[in-house]
Amino acid sequence: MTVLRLKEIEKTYDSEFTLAPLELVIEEGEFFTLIGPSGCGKTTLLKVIAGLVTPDKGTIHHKGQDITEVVAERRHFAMMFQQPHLFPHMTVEQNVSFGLRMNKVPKTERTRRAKEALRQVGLESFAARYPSELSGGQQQRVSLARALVVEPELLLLDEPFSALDPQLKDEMQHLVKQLQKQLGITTVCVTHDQQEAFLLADRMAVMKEGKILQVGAPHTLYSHPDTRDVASFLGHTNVLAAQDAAALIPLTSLVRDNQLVIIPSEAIRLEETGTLGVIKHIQLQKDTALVTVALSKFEVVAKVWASRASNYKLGDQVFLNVEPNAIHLIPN
Amino acid sequence: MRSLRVPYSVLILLCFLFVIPFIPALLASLGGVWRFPLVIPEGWSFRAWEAVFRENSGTLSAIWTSLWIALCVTVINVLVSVPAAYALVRGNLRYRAAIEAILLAPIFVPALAVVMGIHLTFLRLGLTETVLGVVLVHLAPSMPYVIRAAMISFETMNRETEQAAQLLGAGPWSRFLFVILPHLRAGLVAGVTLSMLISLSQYSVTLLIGGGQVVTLPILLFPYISGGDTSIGSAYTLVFSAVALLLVISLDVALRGHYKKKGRSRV
Amino acid sequence: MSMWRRNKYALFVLPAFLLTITLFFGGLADGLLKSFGYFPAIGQDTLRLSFYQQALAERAFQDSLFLNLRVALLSTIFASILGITLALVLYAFQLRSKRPWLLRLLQLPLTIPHLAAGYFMVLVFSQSGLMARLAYAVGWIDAPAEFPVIVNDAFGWGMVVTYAWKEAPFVALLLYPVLARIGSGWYDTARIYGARPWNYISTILLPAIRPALLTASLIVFVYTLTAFEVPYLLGVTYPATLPVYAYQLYTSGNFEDRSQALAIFWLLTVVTLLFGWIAYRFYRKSYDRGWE
Repeated sequence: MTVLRLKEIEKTYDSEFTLAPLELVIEEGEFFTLIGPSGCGKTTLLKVIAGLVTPDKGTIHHKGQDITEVVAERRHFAMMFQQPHLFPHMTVEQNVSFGLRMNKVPKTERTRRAKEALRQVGLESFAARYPSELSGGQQQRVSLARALVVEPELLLLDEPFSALDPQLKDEMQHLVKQLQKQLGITTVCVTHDQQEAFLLADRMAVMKEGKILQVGAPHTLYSHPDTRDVASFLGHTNVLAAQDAAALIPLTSLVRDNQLVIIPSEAIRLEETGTLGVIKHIQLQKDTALVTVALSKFEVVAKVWASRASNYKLGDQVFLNVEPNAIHLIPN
Repeated sequence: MRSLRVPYSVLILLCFLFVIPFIPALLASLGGVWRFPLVIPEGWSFRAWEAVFRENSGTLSAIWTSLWIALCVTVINVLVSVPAAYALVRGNLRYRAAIEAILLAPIFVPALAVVMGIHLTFLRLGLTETVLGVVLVHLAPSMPYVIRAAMISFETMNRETEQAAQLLGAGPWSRFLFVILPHLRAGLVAGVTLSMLISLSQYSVTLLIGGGQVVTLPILLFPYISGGDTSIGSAYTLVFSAVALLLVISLDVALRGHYKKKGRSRV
Repeated sequence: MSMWRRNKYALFVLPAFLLTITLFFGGLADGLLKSFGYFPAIGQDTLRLSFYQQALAERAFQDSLFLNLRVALLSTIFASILGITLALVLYAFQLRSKRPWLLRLLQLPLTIPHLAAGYFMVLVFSQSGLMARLAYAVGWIDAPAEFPVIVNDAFGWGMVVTYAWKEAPFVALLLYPVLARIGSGWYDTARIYGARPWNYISTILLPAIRPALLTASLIVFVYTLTAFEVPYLLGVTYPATLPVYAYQLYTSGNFEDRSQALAIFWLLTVVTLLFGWIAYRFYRKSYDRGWE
């Protein structure tokens, strides 16, 4: 079932398009991610959904009802921000039950539900503390509990993990994903972090300059990007003209000259026979290495196990082979 | 971004509320005759202003006396407060809290209580009816504000900037001149301004110690505003307010202007 | 090395410390001795409590005390309400960045000396003042005497009005920095969870400024309790506020009256130091609390 439908949404700041007219559909229970470089309008779009920003044009429907004119405080959504935004003069429990208090839920029920939400995020013993006594990660958990406790129609996440250090980030991502599935909350998340999007999203939308470029399941987008922009944003470095790619892989006559061939770096293998190239650069990562190989007219990047990369050095001659099923064609 | 919407009418009402008390003083000082029911005086006259700035009215000398006393008070305050504040913030002093409490206590105690106590002693020491005596009694009520401003300034100052200067080879004096002082200059505006204003507005304390011989602006104008000629009283009050206002503005420009231009002010 | 360091810092504090001790605490101690009737110059070198007893027993003292508390309390309440409004309006319009001249305008009363402020109020509120003239113009009164006595009145309204006008910007000045630290993130958050603007003000903004507000109002209360200039100008001969009453006693020239005057001021000092200490505690607390 469709939970949210955005039609022809448009927003302009200072005569510059922040959001070009765009369409978006969010389905019940899914984890939907908006991803794109900074300044692409993803946060503005999230705020439009939240009701914090009023669009210039277009409509928003929530479960069939037009909510375009409904203010944020009447939408019954919940949101986590980059900063926890806990109110420093309230205890953890008061912070968590804030939304219930605003909706005039009786005090005893408020307390009960706040305790339950705190239990879900593993902070039940912190109810009486003040935010200043908590660590950054704990504060963000309280912020999550505050969002969950109102049983929102829609959970909005505005890069809530980006200010956390790596280990905490992992923990929080898993916690959010687990609770989201368990409670079946429809979620829209903004991020610029691809890893995060692939980890969390059921579907995602890639945005650039206020437009949605493509929507789909993360791995579908990765293996079948529609445009060069989507491909390069998702990390494809080997986007080759058809005539260049022919040097690496036999292409059928169906491939026209004006098409581009995308070869995922992990689909290129370094072997004993194949197309000859010279190693120009090796970038070691924890478990894999990116090896840049120069061919006659162009360069490609191959992803190999880091342990194998140590066998090579700059200037070595190598032979390349490409996994034919992994390649993807897009129009130029 | 405007986060909460407040109608403009509230803003205008508030502005009006704070400006309205100046209006009758202006009218009265410029009005020729201002009999009761008239809201606007009948005809205009500079009679009151001429009286205020008449050659032997003593107004100009009272202004200078006031400013001179305020300046002496403030210079002494700054000279003793900056090192004290530095020591309180950075010094890791023993009995730090107690020393701070002692230095800041005069904020709350009425100056008159102290001056009545010290009056006879000053009389014996020959300090009454002297500018020095008046300067000395203006110190206690104003010094805590300078200390507090300097303390806030040191507290908000990034210690690493100082350490960076040290690593670059700056000795204690260079660090004070090139790192601490520029930061302090902007931070001290509030303290220096308050010190000047407090000294400028003292009436009872100046009267008691100055004995009518040290004529500051409030001493000069008091007889006019407590039942004297309304026009002259109004003109004097406006002069008094203008001196205070000009003082604040010029201190702000002189001390903060440099920082504002560069947009680096952190205060 | 470390000995020198510690001594160096002690040396830094010394001038300010000595000045405060001699000029402030010296004056207080001097006054304390005299309040016990210790005037060695005229041969009075025994300490007596009688001046405190005398002062407290006077009808004039009780009337003054009552007037004083009333004026200080009302002034504090009005100045606080007006100051909160001012701070909230400043916050809502974000005047600092957009309209700095407006912020200056609203801070105007801060600069104006108390005596001048008092006289302005005389011109506005006296029976022949601007308000009375306006009231006549719209036909509410027919003669100056019909206009209510607001300045130089026995109740003390003139002082209350002056203090409210003069101290409200001071209150706002202490509250505004606290509000200015609150980003739009808080408002967005509160709205998401259903807070209307009024809910936001009452559940978030007002509690957030409460410690600063307590500090500000305590300072205003202590100031209005002990200030001399405004009541001297705007009060009536009887009852006078305690500082004015004490000043009248002191300047009467009689040594016994002087001891009584100092006794009254000492009582006031004890009260103010107590309030001052409480205010300072609140100030530190609001200063130390962790904000985002």
